[in-house]
Amino acid sequence: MEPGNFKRYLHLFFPIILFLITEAGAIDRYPEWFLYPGRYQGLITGYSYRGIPAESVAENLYCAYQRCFAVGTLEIFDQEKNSRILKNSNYFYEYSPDSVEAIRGKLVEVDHFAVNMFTQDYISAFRCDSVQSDSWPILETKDLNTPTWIELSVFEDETYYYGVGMYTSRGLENDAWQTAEEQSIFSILNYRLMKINQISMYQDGSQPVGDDYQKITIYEIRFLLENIQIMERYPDAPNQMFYVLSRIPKANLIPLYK
Amino acid sequence: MKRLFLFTLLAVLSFSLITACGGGGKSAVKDSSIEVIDDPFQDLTDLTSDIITGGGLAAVGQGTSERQDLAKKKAVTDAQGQLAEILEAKVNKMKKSFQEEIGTGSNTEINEAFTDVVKVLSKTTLRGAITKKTKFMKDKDTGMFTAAVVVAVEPNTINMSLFDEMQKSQPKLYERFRASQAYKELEDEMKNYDEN
Repeated sequence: MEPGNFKRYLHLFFPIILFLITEAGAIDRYPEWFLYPGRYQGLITGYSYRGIPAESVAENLYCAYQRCFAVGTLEIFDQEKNSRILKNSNYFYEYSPDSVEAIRGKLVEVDHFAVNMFTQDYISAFRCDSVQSDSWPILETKDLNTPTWIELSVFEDETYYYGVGMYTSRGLENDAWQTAEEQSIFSILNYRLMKINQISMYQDGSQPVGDDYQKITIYEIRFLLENIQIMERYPDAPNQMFYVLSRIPKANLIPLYK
Repeated sequence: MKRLFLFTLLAVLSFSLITACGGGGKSAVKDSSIEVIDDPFQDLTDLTSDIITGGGLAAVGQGTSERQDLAKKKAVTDAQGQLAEILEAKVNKMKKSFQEEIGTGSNTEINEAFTDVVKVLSKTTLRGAITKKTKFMKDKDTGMFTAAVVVAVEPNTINMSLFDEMQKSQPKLYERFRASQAYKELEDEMKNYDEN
């Protein structure tokens, strides 16, 4: 390659390389529909996930959030000064395969943004209808006010249960947002868990305090969930945490314990 | 006789006084058996401190052998062993601060994930460990080589490995939403629930 050509190519590709590098880092701005989905009813968020297109994830979440059963068990191990350790978690959100087939290919993407150019991860907004895409403001994370709900794990009003989920933002961003979202729903379920069995062990008749006891409690998860809504997302950049606020109408959270 | 006795008594008393007074002076101090030796690898320790301050992991390892290359290999192995212990301590510290941040009973799966990944991380993260600096000393009398190395892991390698490992070890977090035939059984159960 002649020196003149090399310089020409360098001038051509350097801005592209610089763009990729800067865009590959943690993003510092999000469209409003992503941070405040509660303001945009009818929009469905999809995350590209390990090669799976965002549309597929959106279809699954759309069906699950419309109606699903949360079923399984949790084993909590208590030992020493009431510290609780999750021993085993085995629950799933089961939703209808027929509902997924009914929606397959019918979601229309109205917006998307990249979270990592190198891994080609992106987050998209979809609608069920073919309404023309709106324009939405882009919000800088540094201008966001810290919401008060991040201090809570679950709360309620007359109509809804609200759950807060959180996950570290270090690592893959899409995975982190999805995990925080699932954790927000689990927070609500955790609020309504029913214990089905408990085994306690004491040493020689000691009182169950201090270091002398161990206790395993098994909780059953068996709920019908309908109309799960993701209300807000908050990226706490300084502390490297993602927070998600979700809610479920009280009338649509039905425990199915026998 | 009496004079001789008095003279002798006086001489004894005088001698006693002289030696007693003379005993007030300090006795000669013996040379100290303690010898201060400078650490020949202090610069490596300083480099390690700088790396740790910057968020990375680092350790100084030492090894001795008749062969220079074997001395270095022993030193690297020693440093890696220390790194594994430091990494476990770091993960446990992160787990504790993470728990304190979110409270118990809320994100307890993270606690479980931390416990599980420590062992895996000790192997995987140390693959990213690099030898930053090496120093050799040779004993002229015995011909033995002593090597000291600084082995370090960059901060980004630690953090990405930790949380990637957490995510891999918790596959249920990602397959938790599933369209399944079990849904139909649950629907039937729901119908029975409504009727009852």
